[in-house]
Amino acid sequence: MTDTTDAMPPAAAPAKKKLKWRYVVVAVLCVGAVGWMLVLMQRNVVFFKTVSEAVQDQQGDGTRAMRIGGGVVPGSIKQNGTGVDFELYEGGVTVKVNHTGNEPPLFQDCAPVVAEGKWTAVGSQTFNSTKLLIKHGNDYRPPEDSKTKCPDDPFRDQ
Amino acid sequence: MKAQLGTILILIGMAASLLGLASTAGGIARKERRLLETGRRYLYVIVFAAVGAFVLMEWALFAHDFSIKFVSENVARATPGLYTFTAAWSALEGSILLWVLALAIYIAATAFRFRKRYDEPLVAWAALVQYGVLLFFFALMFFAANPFKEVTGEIPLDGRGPNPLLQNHPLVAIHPPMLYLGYVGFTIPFSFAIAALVTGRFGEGWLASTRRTTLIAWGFLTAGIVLGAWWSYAVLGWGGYWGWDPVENASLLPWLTATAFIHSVMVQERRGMLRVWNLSLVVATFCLTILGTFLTRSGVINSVHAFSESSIGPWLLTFLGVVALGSVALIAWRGDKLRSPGHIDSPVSREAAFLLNNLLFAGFALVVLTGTVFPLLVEALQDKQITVGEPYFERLAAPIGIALLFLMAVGPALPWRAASGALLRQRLLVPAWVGGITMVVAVLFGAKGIANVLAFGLAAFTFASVGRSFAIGIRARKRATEEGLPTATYRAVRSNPRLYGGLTVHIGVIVIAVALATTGGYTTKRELQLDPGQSASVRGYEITYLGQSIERSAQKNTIKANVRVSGIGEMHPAISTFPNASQGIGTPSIHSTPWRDVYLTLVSSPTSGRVTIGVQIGTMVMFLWIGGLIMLLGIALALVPARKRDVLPATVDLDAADDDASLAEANA
Repeated sequence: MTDTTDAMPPAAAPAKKKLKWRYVVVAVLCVGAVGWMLVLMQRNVVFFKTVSEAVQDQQGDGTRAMRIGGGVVPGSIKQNGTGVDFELYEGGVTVKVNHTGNEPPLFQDCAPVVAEGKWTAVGSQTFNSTKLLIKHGNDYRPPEDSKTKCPDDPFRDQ
Repeated sequence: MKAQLGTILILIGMAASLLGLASTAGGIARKERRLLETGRRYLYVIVFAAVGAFVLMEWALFAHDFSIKFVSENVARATPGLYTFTAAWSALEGSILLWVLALAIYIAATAFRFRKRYDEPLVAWAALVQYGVLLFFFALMFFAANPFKEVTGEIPLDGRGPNPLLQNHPLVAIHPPMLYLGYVGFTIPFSFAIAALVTGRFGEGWLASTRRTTLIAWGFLTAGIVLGAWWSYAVLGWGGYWGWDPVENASLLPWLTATAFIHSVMVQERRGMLRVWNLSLVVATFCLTILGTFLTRSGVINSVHAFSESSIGPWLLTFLGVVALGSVALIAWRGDKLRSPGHIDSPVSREAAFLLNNLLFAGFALVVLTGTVFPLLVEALQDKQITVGEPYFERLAAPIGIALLFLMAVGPALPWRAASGALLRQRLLVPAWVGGITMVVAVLFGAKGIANVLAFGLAAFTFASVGRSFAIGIRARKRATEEGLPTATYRAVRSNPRLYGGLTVHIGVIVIAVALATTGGYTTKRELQLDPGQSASVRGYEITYLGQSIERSAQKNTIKANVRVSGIGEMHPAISTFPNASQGIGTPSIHSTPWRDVYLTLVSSPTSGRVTIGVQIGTMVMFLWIGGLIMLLGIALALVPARKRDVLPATVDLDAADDDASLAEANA
């Protein structure tokens, strides 16, 4: 339980001056790295909105990257060459989604879906999606009989 | 009956923790050995209570005692035995119970190890901290998450069964306990770090005392993370293994700081430097495990791991605040005494490499922490839901990872204090050439992206460097003792398991790094719509949909697609529906070989004969799991005590291994 560390002679004066410069360089590097990190994060922040919120905020959001969530309108899923077209509803609003890429497993009518992408243009009702997620809801309870009718608000009724 | 008994056991555990705490505190204050001894004895009661409560919970689960709320919500009569057993940690309350069990066992094992030193101030203070943590978790369980709470109203005839995702693959039996054993284990080094701060004995004593426990906890955490990635790949069916999900990040964060600690410890052992830093890393690791528990268990994040809204959030946040503030205050109080006697002589030395390694790991942790916590802060303050996209994590993790790979090649070859140019050439020239040539070959074979090419090159560089260290140690031994190659290898490793274990872990990391590059860059994903009998071709594989079959059991109904893949045979991606959930669960079908993984998912239940099948051809995915296994082997090796009679006399020139061999000698 003893501290047997070899005592070092104190550093010579010139070395100390050099050391100070080193600290400055290291500090600048660290600040730069943290700054770069924050910039990168800023650029990669993706807002999540439900379909009705997203439509409401469309003027302000423009065509920035975002996630929108809603339920798949039954019968709206159509395969295209590179992905799938479908409609999302929530809060009484329905929008079209053009998805490029793979679908997640269990992508089906009524499924609660989060689509990541952007509006085709400001004021457009069509969303270009590059990533689809099925919301693994907390709806972990016996299925109801109403298989034909989707829940009113797949994102709110928890 | 069981409900009351269980609650009483928790109460007993809580009372014993409190009494142990009080008795130990009294013993420290009055310097009375008898009180310390009494305090220690309460551990028997605590272990009894924790084991008893856990066994009772399992009994209640298997006996289908639906009068207990936890049982009625997490097990059904139709649930198979394995998932009835694992149901104990399939929801919040039970997982806290498992946590307490692991904590009690760790603390009891520590008390046993220090049974002859229990009256030393360092050990007594550590025991005090351990009792405090135990008390907190027993109280958390008793007041906020009692697994033995009874159902209100009528006792149901059948239970609900576990969350479908937690009863679809046997890995659920291993992955969570591994993570818990990892998380909980860091309580021990944390308690000794606090004890060192309080008693002022922050030399190397507390490090030596907790080195092994830290390594064990780190090993379990590593295993838990790798198994989590595997679970994600093999069960969740999205084709990937890591998504920078907040819950994955929660397990990665303490791993990063603990990895930094395991390295920087060596600098303190050897040179007496980085004392504040080491204490801070241990405290940070412990805080991050609590933060991880908060993220995954309080319901702030929606995922498989976040069970439900619960009231434990404020408890955990308060505990986290107390621990963090208390530790920072202690470090500030002791700050001037913690100044280290040594300093770094040269930027080209082992200690400088360790320092850089630590900066990188700490930076990595900062990146992950910021990206994980920022969305929560925004949601709490502005009520907006945001996520930080994967590109943020990937763009920052890639350069840090590559820098760490480079350090892994160079660091172990550097001597302590200062390196001469000649020495560097001798030790690193050949490995550097191997790395350079590998990069050229990788480019010629069509490797894409600077990060990937660098990853391959640095992996080869590191592999050559590590191989050289092994070769030199073994050769020196062979020359000195004239043993045969197998004996020399065995004895060389036995003489310094810590060095060779560490190097083995590095090999595992390289294998994983290569696998990350290949799976990231060389994966083909396609989606096929096929009628029965129709086929399509993906990267040379002829994929034919034959038809579907349905299996029914009381636990679940499974729709399987029968798919013939040329050169492999039939594969069966499936979707299962469970009686307790409206959504089905997809089960991928995977054919793995070391070089190629064929990964099929059933995207949607077949309607009108036509089916959508997701096809993913991955490259070298298996190397991720092989790398993980090598890491675990290395950790196990590093835990083996060095055998004195295998250590060579100091006169033998061990070249690269010299520093560590002599260190081992000094320790022996």
